[in-house]
Amino acid sequence: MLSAFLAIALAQAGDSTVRSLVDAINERDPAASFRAISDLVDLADTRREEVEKEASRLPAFYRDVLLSELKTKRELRERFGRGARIDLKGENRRLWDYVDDLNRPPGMKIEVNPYYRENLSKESLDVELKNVWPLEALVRLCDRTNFYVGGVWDSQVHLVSRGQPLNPYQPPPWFFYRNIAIPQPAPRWRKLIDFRGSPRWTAIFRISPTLGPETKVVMWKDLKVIEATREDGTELKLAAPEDTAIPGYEWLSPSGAPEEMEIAFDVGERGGSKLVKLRCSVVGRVPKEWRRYVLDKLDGPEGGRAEDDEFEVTVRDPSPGDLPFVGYVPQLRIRPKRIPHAELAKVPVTVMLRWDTKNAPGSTGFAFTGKGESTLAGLTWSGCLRPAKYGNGDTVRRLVSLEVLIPTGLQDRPIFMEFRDIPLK
Amino acid sequence: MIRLACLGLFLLFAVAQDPADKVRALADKLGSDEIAVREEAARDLARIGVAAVPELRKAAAESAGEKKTLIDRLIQRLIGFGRPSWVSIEAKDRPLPEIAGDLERQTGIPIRLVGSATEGRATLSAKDTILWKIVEDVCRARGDLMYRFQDDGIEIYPSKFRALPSVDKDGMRFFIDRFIWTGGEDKHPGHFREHAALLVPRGTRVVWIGWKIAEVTDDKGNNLAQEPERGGGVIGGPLVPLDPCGYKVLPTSRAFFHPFYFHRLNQPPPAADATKFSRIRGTVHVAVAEGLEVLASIPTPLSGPSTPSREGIPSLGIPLWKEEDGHLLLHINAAWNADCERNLWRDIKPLLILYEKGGDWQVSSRWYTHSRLSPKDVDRIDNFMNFSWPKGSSAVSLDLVAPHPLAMIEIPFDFRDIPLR
Repeated sequence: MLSAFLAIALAQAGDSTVRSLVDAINERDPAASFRAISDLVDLADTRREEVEKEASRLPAFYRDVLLSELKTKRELRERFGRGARIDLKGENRRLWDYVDDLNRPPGMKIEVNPYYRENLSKESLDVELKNVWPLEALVRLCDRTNFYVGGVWDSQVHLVSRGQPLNPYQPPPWFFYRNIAIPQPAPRWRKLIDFRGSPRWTAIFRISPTLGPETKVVMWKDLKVIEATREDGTELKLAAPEDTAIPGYEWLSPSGAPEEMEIAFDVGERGGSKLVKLRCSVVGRVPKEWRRYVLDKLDGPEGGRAEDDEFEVTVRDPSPGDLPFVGYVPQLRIRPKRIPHAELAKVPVTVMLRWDTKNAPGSTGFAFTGKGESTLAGLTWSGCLRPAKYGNGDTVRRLVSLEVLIPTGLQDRPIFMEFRDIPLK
Repeated sequence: MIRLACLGLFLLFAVAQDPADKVRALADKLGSDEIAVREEAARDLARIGVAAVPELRKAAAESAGEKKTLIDRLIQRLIGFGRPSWVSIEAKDRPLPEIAGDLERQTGIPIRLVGSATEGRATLSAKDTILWKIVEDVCRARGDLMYRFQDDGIEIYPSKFRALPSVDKDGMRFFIDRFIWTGGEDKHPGHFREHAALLVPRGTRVVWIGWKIAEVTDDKGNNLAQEPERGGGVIGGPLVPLDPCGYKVLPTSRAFFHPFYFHRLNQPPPAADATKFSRIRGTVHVAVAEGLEVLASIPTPLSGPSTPSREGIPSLGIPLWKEEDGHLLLHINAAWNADCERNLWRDIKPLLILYEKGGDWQVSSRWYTHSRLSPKDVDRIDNFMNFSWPKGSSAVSLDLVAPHPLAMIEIPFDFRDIPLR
């Protein structure tokens, strides 16, 4: 039985007025509220004054979201993410047929590994999704087919198989907004018993946003809780840093402090209650452009070099003095010319590699240190630029060329999110 | 009258006695025919600690036979047990910085005051009291101060005081800092972990810490330390943490604090409705290297590349080295005779010790992770070793040593009524 019906239609806000959209934003239905905010942001392209005026009627949180979105759209332009919604409907079709549909405008660019297409997710699906953003549609499809939406590369999102997890995947409730999808976090529990009396449970939530191909976030910062309300109307407080006599031996966090994309709440007793409302914000850093440096003449005495007005990139074999200590690992140095090096701290660099042997690793990466005038990094994989042999006589793999990609002109993409009814158990 | 004169003379002697004379007098007593006298003298010398070593060396040079053996052994022991942590102090409403300075002078352990603790005052009176107890007592008496261990020192900082389950023995303290209970849901109750530490006199050559947990009973009667068929355990299984129940330690001349955690893999938490641990009982074992048997040594190791080792002969060589970012990276060739206390060495391993100018010393951590004893008579290693190396450091010698003989200290503990809620 082949497909009976398929339709992708642009589901526009129709003839909605600014006023009716603002009226649709309320505390009862966050999903509808964020849809209306998205439509208002697009309407503001032509009716900005009216939107800003009506925004004053909104509850504080949604008003702040709307005003922030208006500002961010102006700043990021095409990197802001499209707001058009679609309908996706079909019967007895494979996942890949739906993905192909989504891959056409007004959908989004999706890359699928040919192996997946041939060998995985062969079962037929009936789908009926109305008035959804393309990323939302893709996430919904993935949740039914053991896939997830991976990162953005080359302006496309990638589908990744979940493989065969020990515990079956159970799709969480999602927060969707334009080209942003965030799974509702589930708490990770931790209790510190430190003989101070009345030890309390801490619930730690990890925020894991996925973004569509227009908005490539290279790093995150400033995760903040705007509101966290329990069933009884009380505010949940952030957990204080753990105060202990000895430095901890935790794998991830010696002090028990949450990581960069985690929030830790002091819950007290555990079980039987829920977090009725969790509102957060986090800022993604989106580059304006990617500086690309290709180094393909590597066998000179000085190694390889490429530069422009912004950066000088050099790659060399380790010096004879360093070779016994670091081994055959090419050393890449990036010196910024215009931007102060300290400002680049933690900014990730991607390096694509081509070697003279087959099945060699194709990429590596590191982050700017921000210390001194330049960042020096080993290329992770062993190899050399000029002919060399190991002590046992084997030939060392040679690096033929490399491509260095540096994100520049980083701009903030504040993201707001809202979750309801998270069980605290 | 004669009595008074005698008393006066005694007091004069007691007050004015030179520390060197005191050590010599005690060393003489080590040659006594009476065991009790010898043991008391040894105890008194232990209280003085490494400061007694120079005079004891002189005494050893002038002695012979059993007395010399006894003094030599005592010298090793004093060095192995570092600088004693017993202190005496009298303070009446004295500023905390002064008290901290006094304690630091007596023990060599830096005590840092943080925030409003720098403006605090305290009253205390202690004689030959272990340092850790004094720090705890000061914080307890104030109530608004707590202590913590950072790097190579103690920090006293503003915080609500909390009494940690602890036990003192032989100048050492074992304490539990906290329990961490993570995860947990209907089917999987979670994971429970204990964080503890051993405090020793500064520079004690602790090379291994082990522990045996005999009982961990919650107030519902579940003993997590017992097998389920013996009536204990929420899920069951001994609490004894790791096989072989030991924690290898990297001694340095500055170290006095050895933190560790212990848990059994997937160790269950106590019963869901338990409110406290009624009893936690067990023993901590501490191996201290009283002596260091030198297998090979390189004097002034960074003066030039040294000869690599040869197969079959205990030896040591440094063909290459470099200093980088506060670290010294040495390329080491070493070989040693493994046919010695094989079972013990399997846990302890030989140590690679770098002696620095000024008397400090440290053991390479990478050496620890890479060195292995094999069934061969001679074992060897060819690798890179890493030492902490702040700018201006200077190396006096690099020694490959066997920690021998070892002193085993047992610290039994029995903690009651530790709240879980």
